[in-house]
Amino acid sequence: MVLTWGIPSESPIRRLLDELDVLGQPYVAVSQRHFAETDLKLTIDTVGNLGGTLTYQGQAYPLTEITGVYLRLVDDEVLPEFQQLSADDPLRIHTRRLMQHLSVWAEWSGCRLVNSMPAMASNNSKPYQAQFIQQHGFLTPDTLITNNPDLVTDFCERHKNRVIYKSISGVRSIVQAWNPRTDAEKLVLIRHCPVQFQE
Amino acid sequence: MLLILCHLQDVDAVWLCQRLRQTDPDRPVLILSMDELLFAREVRHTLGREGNDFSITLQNGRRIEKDDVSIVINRLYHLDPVVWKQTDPRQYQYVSQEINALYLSLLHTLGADRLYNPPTPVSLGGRHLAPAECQLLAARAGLPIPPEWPPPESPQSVGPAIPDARVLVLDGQLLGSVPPGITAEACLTLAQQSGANLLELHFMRQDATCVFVGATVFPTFHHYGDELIHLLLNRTTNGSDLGHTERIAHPAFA
Repeated sequence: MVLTWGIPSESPIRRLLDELDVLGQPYVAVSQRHFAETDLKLTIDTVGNLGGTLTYQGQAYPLTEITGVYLRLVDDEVLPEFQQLSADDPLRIHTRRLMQHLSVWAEWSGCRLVNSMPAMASNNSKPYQAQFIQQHGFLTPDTLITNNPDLVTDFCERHKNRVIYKSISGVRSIVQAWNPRTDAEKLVLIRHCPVQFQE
Repeated sequence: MLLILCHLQDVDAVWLCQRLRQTDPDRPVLILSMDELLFAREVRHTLGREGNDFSITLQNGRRIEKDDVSIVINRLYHLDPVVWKQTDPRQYQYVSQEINALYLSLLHTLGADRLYNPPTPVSLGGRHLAPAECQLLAARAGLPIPPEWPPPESPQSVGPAIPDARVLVLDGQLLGSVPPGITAEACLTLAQQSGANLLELHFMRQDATCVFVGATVFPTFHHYGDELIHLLLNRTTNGSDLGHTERIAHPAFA
């Protein structure tokens, strides 16, 4: 049985479920928004083999029957149902624990997993991820991250002002082309927070 | 240079720095707090055809180049740009993400062989395993664990704040006294499986024996005294020699 966990209406999950229907393969598609109707009980035996049960919308699924997993999780905080919960709502604790259990089981059960949580975390730092891209033989653009405006001016001149700037992390990932006329005067602001520039 | 990165309240990092300096005054050892990094006069991190590099110039004018650093002992778990808390919470969160993403990449340029407790994208504080993962790996390594698994997630309920016994695994070597009912081999296996080159294992007494309750990549260094200092100096004598099977002993301990 295949387990998908995320927002089932998103096209990658939707297409996977359509294909599983065509193949006649059994699956359970957990919607992350239905955290209140989802539970994951984990067990281990004496030598550390993982087992347990996934309960989703009243139906129980032994974890040993799940052989493949596709995770496409979003941050709980963006789920409307989660945002409505007060800070001390027990459902918040339940949801956090649910994600922790999912993480433990997905990483260590040995079943086939697409989108391991730690692997996805490299999205949190573009230059960190770029170093892995380099290690695999791909070229990456010349990149400067700094809080020193003079270094940026030199970098832009070296690249004939054909430069973009963008966030270092995975948030507000908006790419802007460097405009020497209008952006140079704003450069002093990077003293407060380093910025990433690329050829 | 042996570089220790830590938070201001980290007394074990200060202890380690002082003992390393006392034991080998000729060895350059620098300790840097989170605040010194956050308020650095200049940070420069480059990636590209000419290699990946960084330099940091502190407020006191001291400059740290990538090539100056032979070993980093990373005790940072998160860089918190606290001054930004005065602004919009979204701005504070954004700057926090940016700073942590920068230092994750910057430290990664050193390579795993120069980093004790290399940062991961999940945590700048390295390979963080949840208590349930720790105990799962411990069971697989042959260590006894408490009967209730998975353990409750709140830190207070994982085990005693001060464990009954602890050992340190540093780069495949065990320091400290192995508690009754525990084998050194299982401790080493757990450290290996967890992917940490610096891991402190915690045990709680249960009747005449002990059970494993958790592990941390932020060890209480002072528990291991001279044994740890000597081992670290030997490990770092030739700079980036971590991970190699043949090591040249430091002259003071050869």
